[in-house]
Amino acid sequence: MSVDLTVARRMIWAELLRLRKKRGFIALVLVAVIAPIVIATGYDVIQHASNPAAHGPAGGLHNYGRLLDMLGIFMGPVAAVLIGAEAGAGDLAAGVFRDNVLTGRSRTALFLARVPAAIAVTVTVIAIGFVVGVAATFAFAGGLPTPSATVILQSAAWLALANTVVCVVAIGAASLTGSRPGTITALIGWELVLSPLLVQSTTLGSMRHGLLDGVLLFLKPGPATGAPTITMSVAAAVVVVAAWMLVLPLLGAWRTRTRDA
Amino acid sequence: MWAALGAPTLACMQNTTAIQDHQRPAVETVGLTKRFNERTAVDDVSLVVPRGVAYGFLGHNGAGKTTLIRMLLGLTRSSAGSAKVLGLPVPASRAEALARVGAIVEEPSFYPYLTGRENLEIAAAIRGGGARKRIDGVVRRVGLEKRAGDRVGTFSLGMRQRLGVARCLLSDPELLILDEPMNGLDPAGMLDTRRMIRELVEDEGRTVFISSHLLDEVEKTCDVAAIIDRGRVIAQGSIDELVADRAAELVIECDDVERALVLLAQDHTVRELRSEHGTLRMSLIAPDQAGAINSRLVGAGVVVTRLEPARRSLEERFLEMTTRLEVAA
Repeated sequence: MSVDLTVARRMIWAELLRLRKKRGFIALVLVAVIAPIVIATGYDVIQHASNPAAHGPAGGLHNYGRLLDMLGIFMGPVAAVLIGAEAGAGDLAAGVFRDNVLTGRSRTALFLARVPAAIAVTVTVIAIGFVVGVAATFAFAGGLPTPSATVILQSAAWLALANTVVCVVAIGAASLTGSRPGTITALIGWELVLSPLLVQSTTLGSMRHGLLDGVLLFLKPGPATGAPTITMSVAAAVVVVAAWMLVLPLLGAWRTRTRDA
Repeated sequence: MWAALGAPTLACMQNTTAIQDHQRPAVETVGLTKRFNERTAVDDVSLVVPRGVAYGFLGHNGAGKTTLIRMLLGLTRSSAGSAKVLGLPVPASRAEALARVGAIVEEPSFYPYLTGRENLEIAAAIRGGGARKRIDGVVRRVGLEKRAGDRVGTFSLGMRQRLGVARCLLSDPELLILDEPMNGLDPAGMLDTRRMIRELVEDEGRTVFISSHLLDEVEKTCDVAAIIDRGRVIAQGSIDELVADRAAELVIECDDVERALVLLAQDHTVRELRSEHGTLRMSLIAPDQAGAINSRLVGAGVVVTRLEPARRSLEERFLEMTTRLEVAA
């Protein structure tokens, strides 16, 4: 058992190594997360400086809610999709999957090693964005109220959950399709276009309860930002999140086991 | 035949299971077949690859070499027949067998943005066991110690091939399976690879199974070979056996070629006879008649200065066999 755990730990470390050493990719992901925060905050700072009566400070609790939307619903998940797709199909794209299979190591183990490594990279990237955003929230609060430590901790947990779910879904989708570009296009299209539209589509009724974005917005802590929310029980929300975390990864694991190497 | 090729002697045979296991062929297939719909890529192939040799698996592109290797490594299932690798049935005991095998199928692939060493670290992490501790040794073994810290994207094909072999050696394998290891290499790279394979066999006692369409390289590198054509093994044995002409062609040099021609033309054991550049070449009805031919010439006063079996290249033999099959088809 301890030998298995050692091997598992090393396999996860190896996945982490190959993800973090892809420096251009990591830089892109960081830019995707941090640049919108910097641009939005910078824009607000300039507006507030030019006309304080019409435009409030760039920080404070209200802007903190926008920061959470950015990191938990929009650009954070984009980063999670990029990282998950790389983790799920990077070895196939490089042609290394066959060589990994030739070690005799179980394909399920090869798949499972991708998950914690990708989550670790995703959470790290989101954490960097969150730290930058929280710093801006306090630095540019002016006279506005700022989030409490409790809200910040709840927000951090929610961001970790939201982006972990998306990352795991992306790993599953990429492992299932074997295509990074296809997975990235499909999931970013879903995250940024289709899913927000469906969440707002009241004609779908209770079917919207199955939408990940809707559930994550329902679970989001802190101030409301006007983003559409779906009302449901916490238990139902947990079931929906668990379903998203299981279905695609299970399909990805199955495809990894059966894929022609 | 295998004894001459370094197979274990009877004295080595002990009662322990491990030693018995070590004496089993490195690869053994019986009636191995792979069909893709109507097309049969590998057809009823039975091979025995002895331990401690460089074994060439020779055939044209598309002859079924890679498909057979993929079956041996459990990458694809066979349609019929069975295979054992290091005495273990595959795919049933695939994981156990592959733990003792290093393989490159088609061409070695790496993460181009990682260094050679980092790629090996990743492979070692997946391999487990003592693979991590072997990284420095295998890097030295393949002569990449000066470039192991460079990104693989900057490596030449020859260096990637060597890094691929290094990755294979991480598990200290008893058997290496190299699919077309000479492909795309320049002459210096081919020479390096050939030397490395010979050292792996002769110095380290490993078995190396090489698939190739480069006949000359197989002849220079391997001890034993099988020839595959359109999915079927049409010949297998030592290189010497494969290149030997069953019709027993002889080359004779003597002081009086014209007189020898007249004498041998009347000999009923001679099937074909011709003079080429001052030497006589003949094929005999029976291969054991060379001594009698010599006696006849010497008895007739012809001084024989050279008499030896004609050795044809593996390439000539390969083409002869495959052409014969094409005509028959």
